Amino acid sequence: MGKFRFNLSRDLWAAHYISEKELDASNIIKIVRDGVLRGFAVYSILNYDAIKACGILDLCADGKDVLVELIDKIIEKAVNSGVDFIFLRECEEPYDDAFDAKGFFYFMESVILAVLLNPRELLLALSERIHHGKVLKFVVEGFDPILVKVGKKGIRVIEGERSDLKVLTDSKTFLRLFFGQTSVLKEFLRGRITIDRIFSLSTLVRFFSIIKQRRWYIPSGDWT
Amino acid sequence: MKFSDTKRKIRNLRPGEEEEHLEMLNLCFDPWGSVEKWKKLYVQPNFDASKNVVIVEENGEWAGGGTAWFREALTKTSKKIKVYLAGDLYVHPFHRRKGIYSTAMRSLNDLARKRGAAIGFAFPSIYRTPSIALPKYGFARVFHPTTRILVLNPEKFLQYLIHQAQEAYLPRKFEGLRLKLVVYFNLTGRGHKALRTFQVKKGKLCESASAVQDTKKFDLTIDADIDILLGISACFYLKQKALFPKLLLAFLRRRLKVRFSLNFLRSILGLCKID
Repeated sequence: MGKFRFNLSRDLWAAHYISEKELDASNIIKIVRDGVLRGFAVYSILNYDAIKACGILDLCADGKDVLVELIDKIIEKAVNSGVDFIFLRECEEPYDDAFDAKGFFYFMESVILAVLLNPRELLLALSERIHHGKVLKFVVEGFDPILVKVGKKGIRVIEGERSDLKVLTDSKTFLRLFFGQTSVLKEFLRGRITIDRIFSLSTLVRFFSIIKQRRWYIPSGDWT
Repeated sequence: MKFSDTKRKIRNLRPGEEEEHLEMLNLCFDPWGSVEKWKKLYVQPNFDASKNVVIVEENGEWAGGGTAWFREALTKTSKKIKVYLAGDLYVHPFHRRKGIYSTAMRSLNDLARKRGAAIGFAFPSIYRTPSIALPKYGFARVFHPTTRILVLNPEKFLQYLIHQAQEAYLPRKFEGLRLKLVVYFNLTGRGHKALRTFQVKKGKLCESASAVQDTKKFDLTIDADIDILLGISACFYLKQKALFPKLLLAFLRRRLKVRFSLNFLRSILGLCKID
């Protein structure tokens, strides 16, 4: 299963990190094996007054061995450039232990916040061609109600049908459920999500398990 | 002048105002960045500064603003949705505490909604005020990214952290606090110990010139490994419940030692102010 991610076009990638003309420049490290590109890292040397830092902007590897080789090369380049520290802002990624083994430690310095602007547009984008299922009248506080048919494997935004159950929540709870930061049961017990037919709670649980986006990738160049 | 007499206007950045916009950002963020940084963010594919940059005017004066960057996001099933990124929200120092930030933020959300965005995103530092302010405008915490660090020069890294900490928001109850910090770095093959002393003045952490050795002169003395120190400060700012187990575990592993005065304890409990 994929992840929620920003679609980075070629020109946007170039704007964030490095233009195609500069692809052979010194601030990109490539691992090529048998003529095939297996991984790359784009980094930048930053100066904060008298402090020199190496920021890893983008890192892509098709296996742990390639990642380890990339990390070694970045450290080597950083040491040669007289850098004081190396940093990398990472999304949820596998092979975290590769960084631990090299002496990296981690901490939290930023948080990603989201605001719901149009739940109808969002659910319309997630709609599938399903014909059978319970109809849920979904009300997010501050927005018009939305009728959603919840099938076994998909959902569909519909019009003019009678609803089987009504669900009421607020936009923040909706977002936390949408991005998999909490569970329906937890929010139901907290009273942040209400349902008029308790026996249809499983439909609501299924609805959120279908739309939930637990894994994510936002390119560091977009962290404005 | 009463607020009711003021005339507030929202408009877009006009062609030719780019340089003035950069000056405003540098004035308000003190500093924001260079022309190169401005170009990187404001001369992007499919980005039109005259449509995406919102300016708030108060009685004809440029009082604040903000910027919206639009992106296409793909869901786990590769469905496309339009999203926007809110950033560079600023208020001119002469116009603070008048609700300019609120006007700019709401205008950005309205602009994004009209342009078809389903979700908006913001990426504030946990140590700055926007991470506290944005939830008032409907923002919810959805992801907690981590930063990986490899320290090569501990003294310089600490200097960088102190610089960052000096810009952080500190609750009023810490005013006057005298802090002694002993930080341990576990570098590959060698260890390093660094000592710094501070005092909180006007809500900011100020480094004291001399490292006084007498522990009794400090309200709070912290001895900790660097990763423990950063982990605990993140939990404190995020108001995470994980703070207490983290503290306890660090104590038990002898990776954290804390000494505090009775005065400090009283101020934490809200019984008195640190003088």
